[in-house]
Amino acid sequence: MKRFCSLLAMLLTVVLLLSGCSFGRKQTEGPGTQGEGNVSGDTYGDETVFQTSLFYFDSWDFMISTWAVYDSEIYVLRMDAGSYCIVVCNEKGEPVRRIDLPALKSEIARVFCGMFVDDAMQIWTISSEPTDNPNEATTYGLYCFSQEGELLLKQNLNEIIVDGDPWNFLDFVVGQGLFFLNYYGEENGIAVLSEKGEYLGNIRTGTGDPGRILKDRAGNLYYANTDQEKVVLYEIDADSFSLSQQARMLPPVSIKWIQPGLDSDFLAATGDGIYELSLDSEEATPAVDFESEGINSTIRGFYTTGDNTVLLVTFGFAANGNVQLVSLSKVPVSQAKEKKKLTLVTLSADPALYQQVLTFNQKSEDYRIQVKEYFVNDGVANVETAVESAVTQLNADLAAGVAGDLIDLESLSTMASVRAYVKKGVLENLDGYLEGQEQEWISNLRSALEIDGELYQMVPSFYLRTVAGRTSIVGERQGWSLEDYNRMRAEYPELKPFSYGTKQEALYYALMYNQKEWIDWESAECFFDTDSFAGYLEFADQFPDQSEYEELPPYWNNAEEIYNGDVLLYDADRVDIGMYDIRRIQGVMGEQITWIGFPVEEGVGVVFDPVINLGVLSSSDQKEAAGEFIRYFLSDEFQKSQTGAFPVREQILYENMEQIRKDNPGSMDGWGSGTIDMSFGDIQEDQVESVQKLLQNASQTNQTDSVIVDIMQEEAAYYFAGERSAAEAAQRIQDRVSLYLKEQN
Amino acid sequence: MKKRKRRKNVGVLFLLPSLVGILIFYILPFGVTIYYSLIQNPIQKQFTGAANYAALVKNEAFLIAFQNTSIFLVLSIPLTLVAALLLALLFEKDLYGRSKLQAAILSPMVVPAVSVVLVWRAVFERNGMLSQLLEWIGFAGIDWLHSRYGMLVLVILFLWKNTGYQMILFLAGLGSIPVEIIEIAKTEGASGAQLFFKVKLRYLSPTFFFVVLMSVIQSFRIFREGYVLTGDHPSRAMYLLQHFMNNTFHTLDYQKMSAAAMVLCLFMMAVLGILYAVERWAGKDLE
Repeated sequence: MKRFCSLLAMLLTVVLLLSGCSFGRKQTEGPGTQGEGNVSGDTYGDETVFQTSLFYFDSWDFMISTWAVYDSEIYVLRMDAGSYCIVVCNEKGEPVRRIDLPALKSEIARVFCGMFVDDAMQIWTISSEPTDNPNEATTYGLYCFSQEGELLLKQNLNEIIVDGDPWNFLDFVVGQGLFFLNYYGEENGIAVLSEKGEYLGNIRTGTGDPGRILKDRAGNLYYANTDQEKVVLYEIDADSFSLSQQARMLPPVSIKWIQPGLDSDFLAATGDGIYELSLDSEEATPAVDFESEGINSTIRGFYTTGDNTVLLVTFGFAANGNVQLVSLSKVPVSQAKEKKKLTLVTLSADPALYQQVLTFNQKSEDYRIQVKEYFVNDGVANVETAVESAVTQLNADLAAGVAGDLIDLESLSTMASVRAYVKKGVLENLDGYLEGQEQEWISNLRSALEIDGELYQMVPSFYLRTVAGRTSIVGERQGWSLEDYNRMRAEYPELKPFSYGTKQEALYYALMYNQKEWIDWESAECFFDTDSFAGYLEFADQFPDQSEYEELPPYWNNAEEIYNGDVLLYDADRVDIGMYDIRRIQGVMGEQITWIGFPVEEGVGVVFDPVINLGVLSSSDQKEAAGEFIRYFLSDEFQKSQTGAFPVREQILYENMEQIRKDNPGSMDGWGSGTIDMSFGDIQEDQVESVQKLLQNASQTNQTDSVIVDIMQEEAAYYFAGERSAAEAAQRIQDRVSLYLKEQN
Repeated sequence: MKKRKRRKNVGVLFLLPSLVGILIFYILPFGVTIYYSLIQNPIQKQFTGAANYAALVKNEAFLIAFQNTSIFLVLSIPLTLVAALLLALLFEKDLYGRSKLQAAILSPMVVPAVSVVLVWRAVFERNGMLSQLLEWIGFAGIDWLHSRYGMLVLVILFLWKNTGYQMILFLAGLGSIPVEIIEIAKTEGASGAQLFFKVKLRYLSPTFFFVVLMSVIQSFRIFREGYVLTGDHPSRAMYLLQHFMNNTFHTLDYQKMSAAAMVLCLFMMAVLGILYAVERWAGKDLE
């Protein structure tokens, strides 16, 4: 026995030793996978980290053509009043001076390939001048301007690169006192120009997919070719106008932008962050995670400056429409402020939520939110199965209490039941986290969201979903029954009830709008075995089996048949606070409309459609921090910024509505599809009143239980196929759903 | 003596992988199930005593599932036993084409469950072969899978799938009865019925015990076919305990599921205890 014990001890020692071997193994992680407690924008193994500062250019995204950095000043080239100009900004994006470039008329010129400011502070750029005459080729020119905007030089590039037609420029890089223009065409190449713009010679780089010019920290220039997912570098020899034969490799990260590094050879921006690249070790080290730092990941480039700083400019940022300027400075680890990490789990992140996460990460000095997506559609063969697996995994993590701190319930609205999560203790009661602000909510939304009298879901803004009809046909009241609907159908038998929709969809909507009458979760009872429900089965049976469209039509492309009067009702799936939808529907229907609603057994067929729906996970050990994120959505700043969706705070909602009516932002709006081209006109008082009334009539959300939907669709299919009567199908649904509800009780 | 001890130690070492496997995959999950059945939920981990069990016995879905499962056991096990024994007695005789018939009866065991279920669905659906046959002979068609006859479909499916295996066990049992005993009984003028009831049946009691045990185990595996046949929320008549547990697992209701699993476990232990007692009583005077 003693011998056995010693043998066992040896075995365990070996196992422990083997497992210990992995402790020192280097992990290859994306920047988004940093461990908790890391400071903002960390680098691994170094003593300095990037500290992020966020600013905005006071300029709309589409106005900016290109930008450059010189001596800590940012040169932003943009179109203004018929010609280009440069707005010179400081490192915070604040305008310092303006340089007009009258030589570059914005009507004809198109600056497209970067800008550079040399040591003499001359501004260099490349522009094209397209022509309407098909026989004349577009002119490409290298331009040099003084700081006063005077044109110092214009070099015609068409004359230099004679056999490159059709061709275009990819890079405009300055190095070794020369300009390098990377172009592609029938044959790719690099045109080399002197510091005065004189053409010196050409470096042939082959045919096919063109590469890019890179410059490392030491100022060496490379031509980078992507070959089977590896980036191969060839040093550019400007003296002999050739590329070196010896190739070097870059680490396999998906590079979008690359610049000389600060401590490393290169800094590369990918879709998710910035990496430091080393040529010697061929390793990529995560340096900045865009999401954690609240940086919009679609960037339009970055520069490293002399004072250990990286300046980065993003594309348009939805929060205020302005372009984001990011300053990343290297500071010692001890000076960097540590942010606590929160994890927001989602099936698949909605852009609206993602934007808010970025905004929160920008604003919060204490926390950063990391989004953990369980389903990413990266070309999986069977999306449905992949989504189901993702939900199963998410549920397993939730049940084990290891998922994270916050949950995006909206992404799961058709896949999981919030009620089930509440019953299993997954979600935290939010009342304690909202500091009484929940009392300011629109009361009927709050009631619709409550489960057993308590609030577990945070819906900061929402749209309304309902059905609209011509007032001349449906009358002026809101709400009608299925009998009313059938009477109207009988009056207009030649017209389609809705523009599109299948039997299955019609039944789904019937459940969505009637679920309060059909399902009582409290008592675990359901009421599908009624003549009324059988009537809805008959209602759904009037719709086609398959969609008339092979693909779901783009928004409103079926408007013409409504416009022509061939369709009775319109499925208004996005009634908004900006009164855009009501004016558009009125325009398409050609007359006054009524929010008649979906035919329902009780009340009005209108539901709340949350834009964002968040919950706090009870397993989180950072509930207070999660609560801060939740409270952010109830802040005046967020609530007052809602001009499309309805904000949840009642007073702000009505204030916003009034403001929108006064401002009448839609008076300039219009809409068109096919032969329809309409302008909206001003918001009318009666339109505001009808939307307000609709809002007051809503009493449930569009959340449905996926199991009940599946059972309904499955059993109704037998009825639709003529294999059962509506009453039989209703009875089957009753039987099975009632068992399901009892199971949940 | 020393050598024997060393050999014993080596034997334990060889057993170790299996023991570790049993510990990890059977003992630990069983312990976790007991633990889960006694707490409010795995996140708060608040001890609730027997509250989950109390809630379970009040849960209508559980009661329906328990009732259906019990009915299924009561119907399917005796029927399988009788059918398998009769077939074994038949094949004990030198019958023409015996081996081919035996192979045919055993064939359901090797057919994949999913493909079988597709065929069965074609037979038992509302417009399936059986309903059409009924309509052809003048009766109303029956939607077997969605009616109170649903349980019957499961029982038939169980019989079809398992009778062959039980028959083989009975054949082995019959073959192991000492020939001398049968010869003596015949010499002393025992009739066929007396030979069966007084001799064969008595000697088959250990086989009976084993066959019943196997049938109970197999009856809990019918869920797979039932699930493929009707999905996770079938009609009330086909709703079994495994449906209940499977569905509660999917809705993260691990407490209810664990409590149900423990109740099922106790139920099984009670059934097995009775079986052991009967087997001991029946086999006490056997050599």
